[in-house]
Amino acid sequence: MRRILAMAGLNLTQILRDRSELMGLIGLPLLLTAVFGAAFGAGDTGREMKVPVADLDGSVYSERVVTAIDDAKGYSPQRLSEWAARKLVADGEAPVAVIVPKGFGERIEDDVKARIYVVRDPGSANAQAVVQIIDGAATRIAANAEASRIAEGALGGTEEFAHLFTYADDLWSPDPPVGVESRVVAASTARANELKAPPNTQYSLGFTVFFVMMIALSSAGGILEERELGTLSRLLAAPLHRAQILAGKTLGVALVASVEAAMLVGFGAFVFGVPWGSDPLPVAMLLFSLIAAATGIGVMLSAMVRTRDQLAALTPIVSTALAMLGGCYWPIEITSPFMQKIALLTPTGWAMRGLKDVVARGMGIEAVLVPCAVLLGVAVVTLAVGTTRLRLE
Amino acid sequence: MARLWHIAVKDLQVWRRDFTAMGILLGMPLVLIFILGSALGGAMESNIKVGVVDLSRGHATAAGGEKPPSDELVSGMLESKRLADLFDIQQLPSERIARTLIREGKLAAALVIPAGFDEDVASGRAVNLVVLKDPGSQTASGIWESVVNAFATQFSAASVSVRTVVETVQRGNPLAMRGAGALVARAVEAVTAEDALDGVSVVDARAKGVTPVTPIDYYGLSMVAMFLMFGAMFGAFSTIKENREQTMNRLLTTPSPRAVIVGGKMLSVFMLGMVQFAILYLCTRFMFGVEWGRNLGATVVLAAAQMAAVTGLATLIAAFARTERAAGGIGSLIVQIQALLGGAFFSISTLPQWVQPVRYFSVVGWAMEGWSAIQTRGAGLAEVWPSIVALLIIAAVLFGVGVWRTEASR
Repeated sequence: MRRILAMAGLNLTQILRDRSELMGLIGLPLLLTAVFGAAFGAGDTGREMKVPVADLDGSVYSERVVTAIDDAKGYSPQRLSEWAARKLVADGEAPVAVIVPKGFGERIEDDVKARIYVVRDPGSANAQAVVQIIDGAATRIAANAEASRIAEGALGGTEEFAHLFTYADDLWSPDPPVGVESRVVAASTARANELKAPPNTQYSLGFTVFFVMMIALSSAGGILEERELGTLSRLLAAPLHRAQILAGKTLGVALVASVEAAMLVGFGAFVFGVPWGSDPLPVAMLLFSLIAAATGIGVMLSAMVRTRDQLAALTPIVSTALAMLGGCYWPIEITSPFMQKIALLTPTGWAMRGLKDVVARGMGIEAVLVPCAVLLGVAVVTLAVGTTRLRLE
Repeated sequence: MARLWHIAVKDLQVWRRDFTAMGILLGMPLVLIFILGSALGGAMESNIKVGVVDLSRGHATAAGGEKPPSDELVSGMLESKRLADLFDIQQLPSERIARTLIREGKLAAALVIPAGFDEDVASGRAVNLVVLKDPGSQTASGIWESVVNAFATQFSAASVSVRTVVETVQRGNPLAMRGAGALVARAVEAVTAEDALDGVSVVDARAKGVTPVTPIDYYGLSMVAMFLMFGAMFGAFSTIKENREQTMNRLLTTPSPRAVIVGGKMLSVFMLGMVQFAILYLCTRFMFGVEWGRNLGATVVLAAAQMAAVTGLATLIAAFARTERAAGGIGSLIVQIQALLGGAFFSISTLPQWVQPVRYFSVVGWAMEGWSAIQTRGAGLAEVWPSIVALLIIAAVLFGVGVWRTEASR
């Protein structure tokens, strides 16, 4: 056993000694999690997205559009000329620009259909959100206008349309007559308070799963390197069983993956406040199963390729494909039902499912039993295939 | 020059025999483009599971309306075609059931119409619709919340309309209030009738000549940009292997100057990348129908500029990594990170604005910037030259540091 541990420790020491590998193991994953975590947690840091607005009408009606952007949390209007606003979008500097054409107010007063234009990058979610804000403003303006028209008629023209419009508009604030209030439903009400999963939870979970998988695959290559350098044959000459060598090497891979997992979990928990530690036992069980499965896949892949280069080249592809399919990069629930089923064919998909249930939803140990069983099943099969087929010399 | 060429061709021949490398450089990108195109192609037809609980059960009819407001709300949601594309809406009998389903992760969110909602709306009292959200499905539940918001706005409109009419007319022309019932009915009708609130519409003014793109168009480009990066890793492997097997020393004993040898190896990386690009371009364009835009010349020049940067990266990796193990580790991480920051996996425009400049640290980001300008805006060399220049600068810096490091360590 001591020998196995010594071999496992060796893998870790080798990596810790190599500065470039250390960078890959610690620096880059942390950097990436930091950038994306900070990006998605930015909702509450008070940074506002500037929305270019060209108000060519300058009326009380068009002003409503500008105010709507100002009122929306996280957005602020940036008044520009139409040309400048359009250019920002054309150059990719802003995802969306809003243009209120000249005559907008007149059309509203005359009961002719009025338009607000948006120029946007069709793929941008930020643009979509702004369009929704503008849609809301359009509805509000239209409703105010309809009401004002009826009142104006009943008053026989004694009151100005614009005054009536403002009267109606004021009834929307501070709170509209029918509002929306959202409540987060956590699994455990007792823990609901500490369980405020921040918006970057998806990324903390996703990158942890992704990097554990990737590091396990790439450090499994250490076995092949030793084979190529001939040091593995030297080990075989030592009084060691094949099984001991395999166990030592496999454990070494798992050890590196564990270090990676511990680091990313700690980072997510302490820097971003992701509630990783809300229920430590199921989280630990899941991470253990994930590391086992990732190690198994790493060992199996090393047995299937011929050289170290091949494994190095396969690693990013396999880990990226698994991460994408499993929902590490984006929330799986926004993909099509078919892709959600595909996710359950990947170990990453199961890991994400279990982790989300516990960390984000606050479920207990019962939520991780199936994911753990699946992951351990993957681990058993891949380790069996890997260790029996791996050539040591 | 002939020697340079010989060395490059020799390396290319070594790669041609390496089926794994070929599979990775050519096969994998096609597979991933296909997966991504179909996975996210369905993003707009996803089936986000949500619930609706109507606790109102009121029979108070908003003045002028035919059905209680809560019924109108529920049927409005269930009958909307647009919502049906995005959501799988279930009617649930109680809030408790909705909460249980959310807790179990079976629903992303639910709308609860509170008891007394109908009376409150009818009498103009302020009232809130309640959205229950699953903390594990933040994106999906956020989309649902914005849908509920849109419906709430419609109801607010009715209430605002009634109050505006009643209050201003009461004040300005009390005599007209004798027909109050009819007036209120008109006020409601004005904002609830079909198309009533279409007086102001939000219209997409497509920036002139902008071609809309689908996910497969986006990922077609981004995956090609990402997989061109892998050339850097193979290039580095080749140099390290020659160092390790001492064939590099043998090459150095030949009369070829070191620069020619390094140049030849880099030329091979470059050529391999351009061949890879040509094949991927043809496959994505003609097999998957990816829209590449009409300016083939600018597209190819950008690819060449990207490959120059990739070649520089190969030199740098070979200089820093002593072993193939290290090169594989650093190389694949660099490729991944470049791809992520450059928007290969998801569009950088989904990130907050202040983070978006990170894409300029990425070779993939610059290539994507140029290619998508060609793709969506029909840009030509005149518009994409900044990307080309940036890539060439990155190439020069990486190459320079790589050579300096190699010299320094000799």
